[in-house]
Amino acid sequence: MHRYLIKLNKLNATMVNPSVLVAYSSNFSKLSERKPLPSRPINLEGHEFTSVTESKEEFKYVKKLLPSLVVPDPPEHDFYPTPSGWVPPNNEKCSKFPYFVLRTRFHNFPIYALEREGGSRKLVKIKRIEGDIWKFDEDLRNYVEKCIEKNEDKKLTIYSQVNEVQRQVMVKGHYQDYISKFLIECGF
Amino acid sequence: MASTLPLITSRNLWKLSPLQKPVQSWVETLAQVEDKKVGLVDLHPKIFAVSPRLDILAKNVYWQHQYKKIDYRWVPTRAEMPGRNKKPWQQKGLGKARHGSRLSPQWMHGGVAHGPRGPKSYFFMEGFYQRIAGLTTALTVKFHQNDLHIVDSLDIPTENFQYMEQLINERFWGPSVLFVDDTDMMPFNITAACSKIKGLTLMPTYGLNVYSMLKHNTLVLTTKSLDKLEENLLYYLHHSQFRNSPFIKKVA
Repeated sequence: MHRYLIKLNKLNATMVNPSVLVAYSSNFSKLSERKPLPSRPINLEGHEFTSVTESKEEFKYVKKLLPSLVVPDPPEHDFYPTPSGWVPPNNEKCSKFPYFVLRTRFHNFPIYALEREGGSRKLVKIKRIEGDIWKFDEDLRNYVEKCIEKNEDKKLTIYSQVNEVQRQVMVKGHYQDYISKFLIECGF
Repeated sequence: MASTLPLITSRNLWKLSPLQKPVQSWVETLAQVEDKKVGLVDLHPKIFAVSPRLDILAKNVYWQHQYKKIDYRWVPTRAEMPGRNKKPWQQKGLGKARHGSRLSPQWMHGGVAHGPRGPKSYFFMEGFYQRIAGLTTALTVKFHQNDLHIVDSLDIPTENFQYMEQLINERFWGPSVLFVDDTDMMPFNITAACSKIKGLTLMPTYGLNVYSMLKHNTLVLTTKSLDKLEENLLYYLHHSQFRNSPFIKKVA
């Protein structure tokens, strides 16, 4: 099969009009004197172009379809939390604390559930913590312990790790629901 | 001059979270030698008050060293050595060690095994958000070490280099200063004055980078370049795509 294809290719190569080949080779040999490649002639007089009108006013309809480059501010809803569970930051509440957690550019909490060692170590990472990170860590642990005692009838000690330079806290155990509750109660 | 003071008192900061407070900086002027404050500006805390991540700074500096580095070292292998590749002596009967070639690497004047080969590029692109974080941390570090100064413009009265020397000595701006302006066409006087003194660099905003910020003792930004810098950095901190390829153009 392969040989057959090669033969066909050779045939094709020989079937090209030799006069065209000569013309092309002469074009490439003298780069400075290269002629434009032959193109299909367009008869402008006989051709019928479709008519076009320019309108700058109607561009606003096009603008609606274009994706916004920057994440827009969230719209005002009738009630909170919204059906998806989103709550806006409450500035009065959060002014009491010596720390705060900034939202991401998509207006969500910077809480990330992680798994290590094939899923045997469950962790939650909280990023973008500003202010007194050690106080935040203490309050968070106390809150999560209380939540577990209340909802699951268990007494647990929560372990966490503070990364002061990167402004992050790692909590052991997948308690992201309680942590997000804590952030909502603080009003961040 | 005194009638128009202060020039600037506040600035609108885009995408400022109500939880964060803006940091403030004096606006100075190069119009006279004495250090006279012309106004106050608010600086965005997401750019001028971030956590000083020195590891990110180091990463950026490493990237700026590496991406333009080319290793030109080259040594020939045994196949590329000049000379005949003949068997030096027969295999048996002489009581000598067995050898097949004089060019093999254990021989004197032989080729080199696993040597450095040819021009090698070390080009790589640091992650986009790492580069953004590098710029913000460098600006923060400069600002909090009191090495960042904001001026109204780069206009100076004379083209005499001694004026610039006096000004820098008066304000303790150190031997090397980096002036950053909005445009790449600088005013004539400052270009003439800076060309006579070593260590003074003029740079447009788009050329600002981590390495030169750390290399120079002080960084001097004009208010226009500050606006442009903040606008661009904040755009990339808040844009809607997740961007990791470095060559996408901003559309509008």
